[in-house]
Amino acid sequence: MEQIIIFLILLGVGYFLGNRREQKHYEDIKRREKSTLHVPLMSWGAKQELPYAHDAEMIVGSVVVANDYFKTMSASLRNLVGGRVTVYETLIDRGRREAMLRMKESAMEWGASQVINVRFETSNIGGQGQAAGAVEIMAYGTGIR
Amino acid sequence: MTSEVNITPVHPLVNFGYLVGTVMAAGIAIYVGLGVAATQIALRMGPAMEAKVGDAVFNSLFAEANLLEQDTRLDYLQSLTESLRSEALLERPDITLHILDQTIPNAMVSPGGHIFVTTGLLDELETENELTFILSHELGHYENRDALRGLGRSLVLLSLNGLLGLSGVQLPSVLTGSLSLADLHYSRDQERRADIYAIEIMHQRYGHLGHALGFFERLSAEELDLEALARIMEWQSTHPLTRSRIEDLEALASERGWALQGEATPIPEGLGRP
Repeated sequence: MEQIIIFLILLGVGYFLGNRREQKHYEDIKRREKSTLHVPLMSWGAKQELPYAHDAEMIVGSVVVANDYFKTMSASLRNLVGGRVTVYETLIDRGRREAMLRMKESAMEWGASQVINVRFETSNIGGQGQAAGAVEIMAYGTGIR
Repeated sequence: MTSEVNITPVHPLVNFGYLVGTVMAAGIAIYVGLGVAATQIALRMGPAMEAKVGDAVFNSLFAEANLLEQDTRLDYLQSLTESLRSEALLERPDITLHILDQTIPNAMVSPGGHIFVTTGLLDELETENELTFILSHELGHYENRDALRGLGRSLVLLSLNGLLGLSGVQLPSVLTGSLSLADLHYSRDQERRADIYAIEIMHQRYGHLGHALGFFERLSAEELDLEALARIMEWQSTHPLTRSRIEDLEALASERGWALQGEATPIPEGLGRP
């Protein structure tokens, strides 16, 4: 019996806190995306001529977003029936945008006029199975000024 | 930039509800389907197969149990049970009596005709009639294949649990992990059929039902909570004859015109209450 209560508490905490944080995070992401819109991010092909720059530096932004129990349960049930794991879509989306924003903000601090050849890396951090894991998302590119 | 193409617009709770609903519906459908199949197999199983299954269950569950193999009371119990055996039971695997060294009064039957009584039960007995009733009740479960059916159902449950584990769904252990073959319980209906079976045998043997329920009446007078004890046993046990079940049996007996009172048949020396 007490295990069921613990299970429901975990699920409830996961849902309410996780959802609240997610909404706050999205508000924050959207506000910052607007304020950093004037620095363009671009990717160049191998045979294209790179834009002229006085200075170039690698800029890295990375973020680790944790999973919660509610998402873990939803996803493991989803594994049985197949289909879109919608609960993880928001997690990854938040991670990508946050990492990119951090990279952009650090580029702007350095004084970049644009960031070129942006790449993403994603990696899993711990938490196989029952333990809620986390995902690290890193965005990097070359800042020029 | 901010059009949310990467997020499926569905509320997480709606998504969760849909998933729980689908998985549960599928689980129930599989459980019911396999349960029906298992029951059919249990009903059609031949004696040789049943003996094999019974031995496997006995070896896995009672190998570690505290059985008194050399007890002198075994001969008496065995011969009493043999004398209660009905025609239908002659075609089933042989009945083997076991005495469990336990102070809790209890009796049970496992598939393949293994009948267990505890030393606590033997010490509480006052008349042979009480013992006959208890043994006949267990024989009733045996003849109706209740233990086999229960085994089939819990096998289905166990394999469903295993499937869930394999598929990577990690439900908390309380919802699945505490299952075991020993968690069988009979339904009210099965208990009632075994009760009726038992009083029929009582009537056949003694011509009356006197002292049949004495044991249970005495225990309830001593306010022993057999239900809780049965749970400690964690095995299908002779469920307590609650007040209402005793009354039901008495009503049925008077309906058939069977005597409720009669001479008690004594039990041999060395058995029962000192």
